[in-house]
Amino acid sequence: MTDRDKHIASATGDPAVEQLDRRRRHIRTAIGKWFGGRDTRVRGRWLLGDLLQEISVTQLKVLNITGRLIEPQLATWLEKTVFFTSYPDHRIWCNQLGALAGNGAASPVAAVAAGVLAADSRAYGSLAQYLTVKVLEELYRRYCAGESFAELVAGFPVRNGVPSISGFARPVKIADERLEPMRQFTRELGLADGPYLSFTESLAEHLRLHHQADMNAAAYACAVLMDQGFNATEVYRIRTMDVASGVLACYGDLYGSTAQAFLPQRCTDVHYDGVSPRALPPR
Amino acid sequence: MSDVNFRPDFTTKLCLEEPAATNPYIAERRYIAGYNLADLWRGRSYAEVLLLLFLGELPTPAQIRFGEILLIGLLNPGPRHVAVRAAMTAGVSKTAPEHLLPLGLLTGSGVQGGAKQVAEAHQFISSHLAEEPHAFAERCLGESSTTPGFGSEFGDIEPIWQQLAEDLAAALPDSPVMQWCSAFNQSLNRQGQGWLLPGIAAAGGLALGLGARETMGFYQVAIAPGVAAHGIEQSHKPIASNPFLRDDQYECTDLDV
Repeated sequence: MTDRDKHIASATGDPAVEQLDRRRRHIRTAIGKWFGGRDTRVRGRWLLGDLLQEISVTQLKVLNITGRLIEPQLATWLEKTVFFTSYPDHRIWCNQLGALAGNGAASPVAAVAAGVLAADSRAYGSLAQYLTVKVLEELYRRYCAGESFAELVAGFPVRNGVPSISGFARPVKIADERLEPMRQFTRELGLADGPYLSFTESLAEHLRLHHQADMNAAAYACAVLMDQGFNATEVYRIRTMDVASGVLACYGDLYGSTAQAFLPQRCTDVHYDGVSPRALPPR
Repeated sequence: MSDVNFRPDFTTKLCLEEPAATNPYIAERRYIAGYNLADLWRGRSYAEVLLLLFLGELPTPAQIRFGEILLIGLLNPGPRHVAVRAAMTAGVSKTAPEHLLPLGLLTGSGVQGGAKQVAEAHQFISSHLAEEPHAFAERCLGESSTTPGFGSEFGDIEPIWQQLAEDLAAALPDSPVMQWCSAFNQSLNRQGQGWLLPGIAAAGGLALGLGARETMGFYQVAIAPGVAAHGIEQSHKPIASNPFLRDDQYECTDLDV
């Protein structure tokens, strides 16, 4: 028992309070520490003395998030995949928030924060990738236990004519233009071999043949990351900021423009289907 | 995406805007659930109109009193509450002040004591209302199962929340939700567990007839004054008025330096 612990133990007889007091005004961590005037520890390495010369910003990001120092090829792959998740297109929901923030002359940080939050969505963005990894983990486990693809798919509801499986709900007639380029650079970087990706490709083939459905690029990318040993929580964290550049493109496009320049709405452009106007009753 | 059948406009039941005759972009009148907003600000309280917005109908006098107690009870969850503390930390560090409320609400949005736990607690309560509350509480305690919205904080239960819950239950004495939760809480108390803030918010929303997401939003609105006021207050103070741990208070376990 350290002197500090002895002091805490003597201060109160309540074990719960003593436990809390050990963390009161005290942080104990392995993630790192800033040593002002000297250097910073990052997951057991020196930031300026070691990492600055050796690794990319993406490697540093993954190191901070997961504690893993990934190979340069995987870092390059991660950077390339961001090409597929952040477009300068005002119609994408998170980007609309960027445009609205720009049009309202909010700060760029507010725009990115709002856009990144918007992409924390079950339908697209970082949360969708978290859900995709969770689904793939479960389906792969059942597949390894002997279930057929037909059995795996049978449990999912059908929406818009295709089984609603996160990452695989894309109608086959609307091809995901990102898949082939992603397959190509994944092969070139030597990251295309792994059980999750193989399973994912086979599942997508089954869906194409029997359900007119296909995977999207997110499912492919999630499978690659799973083969690289990342779990759903880590993928969620790694993907958090992926939409930022598209949001900022839209923000900048509208910043400084006249008020209400972005998709102005007439009153009647918001369709009201509620109760008709009525008199306020007396109390 | 071009093949997906997107609707051309938003639809809403909450608000009607009647355009001015001279400019279709200008609203001549705005209605909340069918009531002219101008009539509402002339003749109704803020709590009443807030409840109207979430419920879609004017609340009863008992609901208004219940809602006022809930809104005042949640108004300022205190400077140690996660959302308030976040706003205070940012405020004193000179963060742009317009971000203080949203960043506080974001930090306090989690499933452990935050807005998501309100939704979880709502679901927990609503899915167990058919069970006898005392027996169910005993079973939860016996199995050490999770009871979203109920439990202990810092190893104990906070008397303020127990008092708020009692006053809320008294304001809607016929509410099956409040009756069930009060009984459930009573059994938990014997093991040093009880109401948590998200549980009170969840029970309150459920008792008013709100859904889980609506209750979560109502909770965020309710705590917003405390988050904003505390954050803004700190923004006027020098940055050194906030604790920044010394090196000896920060142990990095990957090496001895």
